[in-house]
Amino acid sequence: MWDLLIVNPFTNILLLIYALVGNFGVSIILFTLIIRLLTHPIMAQQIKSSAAMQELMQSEEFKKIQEKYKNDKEKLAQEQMRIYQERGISPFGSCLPTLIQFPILIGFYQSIVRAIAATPMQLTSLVRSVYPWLENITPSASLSALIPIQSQFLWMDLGQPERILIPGLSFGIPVLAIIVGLTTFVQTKLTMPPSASGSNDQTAQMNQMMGIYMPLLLFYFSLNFASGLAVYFITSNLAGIAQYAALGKVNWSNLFGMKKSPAPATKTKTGK
Amino acid sequence: MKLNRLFLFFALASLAGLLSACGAQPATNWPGVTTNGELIFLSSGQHVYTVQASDGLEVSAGTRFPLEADANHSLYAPVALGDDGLMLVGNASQANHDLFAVDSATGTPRWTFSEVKLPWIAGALTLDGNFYAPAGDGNLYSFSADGQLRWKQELSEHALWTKPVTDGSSVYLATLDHVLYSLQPETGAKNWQKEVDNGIVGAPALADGTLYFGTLSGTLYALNAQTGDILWQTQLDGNIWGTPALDGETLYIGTVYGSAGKFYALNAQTGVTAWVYEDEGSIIAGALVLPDQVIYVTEKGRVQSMNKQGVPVWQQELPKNKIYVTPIQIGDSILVTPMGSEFLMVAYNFTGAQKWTFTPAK
Repeated sequence: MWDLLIVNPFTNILLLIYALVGNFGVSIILFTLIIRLLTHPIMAQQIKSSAAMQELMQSEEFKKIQEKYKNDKEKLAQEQMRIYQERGISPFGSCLPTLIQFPILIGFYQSIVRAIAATPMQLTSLVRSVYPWLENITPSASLSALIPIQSQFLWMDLGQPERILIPGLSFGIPVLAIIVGLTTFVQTKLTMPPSASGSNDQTAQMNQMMGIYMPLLLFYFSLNFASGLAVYFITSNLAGIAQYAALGKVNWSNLFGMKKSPAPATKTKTGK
Repeated sequence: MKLNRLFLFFALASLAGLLSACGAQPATNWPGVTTNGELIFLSSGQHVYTVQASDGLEVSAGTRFPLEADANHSLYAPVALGDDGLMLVGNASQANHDLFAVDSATGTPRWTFSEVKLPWIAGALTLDGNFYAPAGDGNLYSFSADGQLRWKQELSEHALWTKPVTDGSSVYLATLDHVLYSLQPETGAKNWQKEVDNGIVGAPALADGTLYFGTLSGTLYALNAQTGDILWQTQLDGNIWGTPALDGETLYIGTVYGSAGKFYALNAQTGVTAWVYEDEGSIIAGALVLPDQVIYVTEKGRVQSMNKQGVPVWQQELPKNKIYVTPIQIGDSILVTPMGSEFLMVAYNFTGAQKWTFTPAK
């Protein structure tokens, strides 16, 4: 069912773009941007909910309740829920969009791996995934035209982990994995809410930890898995920064270690 | 706070596990099997195992290559057996791309070729003491037995996945680029090349000056091995992945038809279908021809015996297994290499009774 609903459609869209543009690296980039565009409303909602939650957590009323009921967890939860309802905030408003995006991430990852098909056994899955009617859209999307997928993109083979070999060095430099780590770090920093970087609350600390764990995790993936995945990560990171910038939520102060006071409440409310 | 950190850590670790197939080292290709009649050489993941054909026992854990399991070894190509107990196998790992020439008696490497920076998927051919190894970089490499590179010929922008075949005077190699090549063994120079309608995954079968092979479009071809001219071609239902099996005037080949399969018997002279048998499982591997029966295996774990008139004789089911490797006859045994069992090989007699299974000792 997962294959039928998620991986196969994603794989075919990826292949169709490949058939149209003739370059698998470009098709990964374009498909990533399309997915980012389609999930933009969800992401905008997530940002808005996050900001509203941040604002609430900074409010005097919220801090007073935390202080007042710090020894009564049940009462604290009840009071927090009351405030959420009064202000029309869903406590899961910032989590749900992430959960919705999660299967998309997994499905897209699997579709890239499937489309690259680095061995005959992996090719059996790809051949079965290709919709026969795809070639009605363009003849270059027929099975015979698609296979073999030309996995060369710039200096890399998208089906293999990327390394640049330098004469004199016995090992390759994982340039793409380093770029993935850096762009993930930058994206996490830039998109962290202003209040998170300077405060000591739990959300801020969680965000700071994400800023460390996520770049390391994606660096690890890019180091060991097909470089097509790294192309996806880099594109996704850059597109994510661009989305936040378009919504006016990029926080440059986090990146350069400058202190910046939280955005005024009115700004958050307008969802700018 | 510590709980939150732990939660975040485990959430990300779970994501890592999920994306990397739950932390296991998944098989990225099907195993490779070679035999010299007495011994079976099984390339299956991190090792090449040497197994006695008579009883399915590993000769000795000391003959494994490599001796110790190594995550940087992904050995799936069938080994090429050379003179003096030498065997050649390439590494399909994404981290190491060495081609190893190993003493099969001791599991000790004699020489290693490390200049290719992409995985080795296909098995190599041995001819007159020399090796012909198709590589992941699209080149066919020829080595002498002592590891000297004789020549290399660039044939594809894609990895080469198919084992070359020979009639003694030429080397024939099929590619996923829709092209079949005929090359001179001494120099690698091209005699001819023939473009067909789709990618070729299975090695060609060669008999009486004719090359038989199928494509992913399901077209079965017969080519004049001398000239590359098409003698006939015929369209079958589904995709062809395996090598056709020849039995005098008859050609046997299975297809992948969605999740099912079709097993064909055709006239080797004309390509006309004699009979077709439909199976609920896809047929990816080639067939094995025995004196009074023909055996095919399916992706659903079935070992099926047919008589030569297309009537089923016996079958064995290996539930939860997938079989992608062409069965091999060794003496009075039929060797099957499934994926998904606790055992890596199983031998049957000619009536389908199980003789032994092989499970590597830990």
